[in-house]
Amino acid sequence: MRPRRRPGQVLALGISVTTLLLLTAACSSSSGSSSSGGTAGASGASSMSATAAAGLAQAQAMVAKYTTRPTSIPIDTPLKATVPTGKSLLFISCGVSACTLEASIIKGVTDKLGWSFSTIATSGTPQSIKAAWDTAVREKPSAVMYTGTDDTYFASELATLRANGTVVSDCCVTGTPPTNFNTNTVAQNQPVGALFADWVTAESGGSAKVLQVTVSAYPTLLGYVQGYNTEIAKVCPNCTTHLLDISYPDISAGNAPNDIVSYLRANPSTKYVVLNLDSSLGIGLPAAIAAAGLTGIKTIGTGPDSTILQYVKDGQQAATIPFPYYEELGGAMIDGVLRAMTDQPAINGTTLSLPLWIVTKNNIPSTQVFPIVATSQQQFYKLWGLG
Amino acid sequence: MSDGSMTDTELAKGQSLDNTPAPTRRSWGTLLGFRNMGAIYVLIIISIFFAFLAPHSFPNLATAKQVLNTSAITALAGLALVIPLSARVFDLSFAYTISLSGCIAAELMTQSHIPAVWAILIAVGASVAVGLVNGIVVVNMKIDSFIGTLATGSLIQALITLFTQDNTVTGNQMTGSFALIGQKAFGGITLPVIYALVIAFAVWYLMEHTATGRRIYATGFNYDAARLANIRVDRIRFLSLVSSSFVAGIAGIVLASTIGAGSPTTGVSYLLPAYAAAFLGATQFKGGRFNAWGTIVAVLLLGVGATGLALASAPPWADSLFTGVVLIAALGANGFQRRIIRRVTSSGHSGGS
Repeated sequence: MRPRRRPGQVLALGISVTTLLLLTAACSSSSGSSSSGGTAGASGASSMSATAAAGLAQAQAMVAKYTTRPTSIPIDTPLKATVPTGKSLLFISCGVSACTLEASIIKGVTDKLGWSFSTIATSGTPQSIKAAWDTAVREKPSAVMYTGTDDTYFASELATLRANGTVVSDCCVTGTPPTNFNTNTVAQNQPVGALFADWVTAESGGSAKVLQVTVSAYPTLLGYVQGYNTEIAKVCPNCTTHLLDISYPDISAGNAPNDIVSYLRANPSTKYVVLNLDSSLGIGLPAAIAAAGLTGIKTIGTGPDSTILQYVKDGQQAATIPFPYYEELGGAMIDGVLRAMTDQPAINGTTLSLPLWIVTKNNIPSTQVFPIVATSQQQFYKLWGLG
Repeated sequence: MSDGSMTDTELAKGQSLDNTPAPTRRSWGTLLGFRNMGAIYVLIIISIFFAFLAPHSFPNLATAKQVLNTSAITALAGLALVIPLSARVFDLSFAYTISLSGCIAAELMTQSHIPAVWAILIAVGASVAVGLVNGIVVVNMKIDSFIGTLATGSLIQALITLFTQDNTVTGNQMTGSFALIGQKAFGGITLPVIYALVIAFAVWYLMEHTATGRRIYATGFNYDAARLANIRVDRIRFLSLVSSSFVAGIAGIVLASTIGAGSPTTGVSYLLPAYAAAFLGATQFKGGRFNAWGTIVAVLLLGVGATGLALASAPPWADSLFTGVVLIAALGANGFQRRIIRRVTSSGHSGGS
C-alpha cells in the first residue's frame, strides 16, 4: 500500500518548501526601512530641543497654510492667441477609476473649446496601451493626452504622431517623454511628501513614530518618499519612520489593510500612518484598524477617491491631500496643448507648483472637494480668452 | 431500487454513487492522519514558526481575532464555490457578482435613497438573477461552465461599469446602520465571521446530511452515472450556480459594508483566494471532496500565513509566494488522493470479483 502515503508526502513536501522559502524570505530581507527624522546626537539636549521646537513651529505654520483651500491655479500667463476651433482631442485612459474621472474633466473643457473629444480606455496592460496608441496613429487627432504610462511601450507611435503634427501632452510619468507638455513629475510630488512630514510633526507635537506606506510598483510615488524624508529630517528630529512597501498583487488582493494593521500591531507605539496613495491603500483600513482594537491611529494620505473623502468626513481618516485633477488635466495640460497649437512660448510644466490642500473633517466642504481651486476652470478660461 | 434509482433516505445515509468507499467507521488514526487533515497540522506548524519569528506580536489572541476578521469575506467567497465545484461546475463570475451586489446596494442607498433593507434585498435578488443567467448559459445552452461563467462575469463587469462609471459608490448612507453589517464586533470578532460560520454550517448540513447533498456530490463525481440513477443532474448543476451567486451576493453586501463603499473592482480580488481555499479545502476531511469546513480551514491557513508574514515584516513578494506554493501543494495532494481512491476502488473490485 505504498502509494497511500503519496498525498501526505506531497503535501508535506510542498509545505516544507513553503516554510523554507518563507523562512528565507522573512530572514533575508525586510519589507521596508526605518529612518530617523533627524540627527539626534551628543550635541546637547538643549540645542536638540531648540531644533525640534523650531521644526515644530515650521511644520505647524505649513499645516496652517495648507489647510486653507487654495485659490490660484498654477499658471498665470495669458494665451496671446485665439483659441483654435474645430480640433479633436484624444485621451488615452490608464484603466483605473481616476482616469475615468480625468476623461470626464477633459471632456468638459473640450466642450467649452468646441472641440471633439474621444477616449480610448485601456486595461493598463502594455498590450492594451500599445493598441490604444496604434488606434491614435490611425485616427490622427489634433491632440493626444495621456497619464501615468511609460512611453517605452509606445515610443514609435508617439514619434509617428509627433511627426504628423499631433500635439501630445502628458502627466504623472517618471521619465521625460518627447512630448509638447509634461507635468506632475517625481520632483513635483515632493512638496506633498513634505506636507506629510509637516502634518505628522504638527499633529504629534514633534515626536512621532510613523508608518509610511508606499507602492514601489508606482514609480511616481517615489516623490512622496523623497519629499517626506527631506522634510522630516528638518522639522522633526525626534520622529522615526518605517517605510512599508506593499506589492501590487497585495493591493489587488485587498491585503493592504491587513498588512498595515499587522505592522501597527507589531509596533504599537506607531500611531501615525502616511499613505502614499490612499485610494489604493486606505480602502477598508478604518474597519481593519477598529477590528484589531487599535486606538489613537491617525492617518493621512493623498489621491483620495469618494470613499476616502467619506472616511475623512466621518473622521475615520484624519486627513488627505487630493490630486489636482482639474488644475492639472483640465487646466495645465490643455494649456500646454493650446500653446503648442498656437506657437506660443511653452510653459515648463515640470516646474509648476501644483495646488496643495490638506483636507480634514474640519475643513472638508459640504459640496465638492474637486476642483481644489474652486474657480480653476473659470481662471483657465480667462487665461485662454474664453471669458 | 428495482429501477436502479436511489431513495432520498439511502442517499442521505451516504450510499455513494461513485463507488467510493463510504467513510464510515474510520479509525482515529485515519481521521487524525496528515492525509485527512494536513492543513490543520500545517496551520499549527506555521503558527509555531511565526511565533518564533514575531514573538511579541504573533502568539496572542489579538492575532487570532485579526486572522478571523480579515479572512471572513474570503471564507464567504470560498464557501460560495463549494456547492458548484462539488457538482463539477466552475463559477468564475462569482467574484464579479460580489462587486455587483455591493455596487447595487451602494447605488440604491446613496443615489436613489432607498432604505438599506430594500437595497440589500434588491442587490441579493440581482445576484440570484446572475445565478439564473449562469444556469441558462451553462445548463440550457450547454456552454462549458469555465468559459460560460467567464463570459457572464465579463458581462457583469460591463454592467457595473455602465452604472458606476468605474467609480466607487459611497455616501453618508453607507456609514450608518449599514456599516454595522460588516463592522459590528462582539468581543473583537466582527459579524462577517459569524456569517461565514453560519453559511459554512448550512453548506455542511446540506452536503453531508441531506439527499440533495449526496446528489450534488454524485453529479460531480460521475455525471452519467448520476443521471442513470435518476438524479436530475441538470437541475442540480443549475441550482448550484444559483447558490454560488446567492452567497456571492451576500459577500458583496458584507464587503460593501466593511469598506463603506460599493467598489466596481474589489470583488475580483477574491477570485484566486476563494478558489485556492476551495481546492485546498477539498484535500481536508473528505478525501478529495469539496467541503465547507475544509474550506474554512484553508482560508484560515492562508489568513494565518498572510498575517504572520505581515507581522514578521516579510518582503512584499512573500505573501504571493506563500499562496502559490500552498495552492500547488494542495492541488497536487488532491490529485494524488483522487488517483489513489480510484486505484484502491478498482483493486477492491478486481479482488472481489
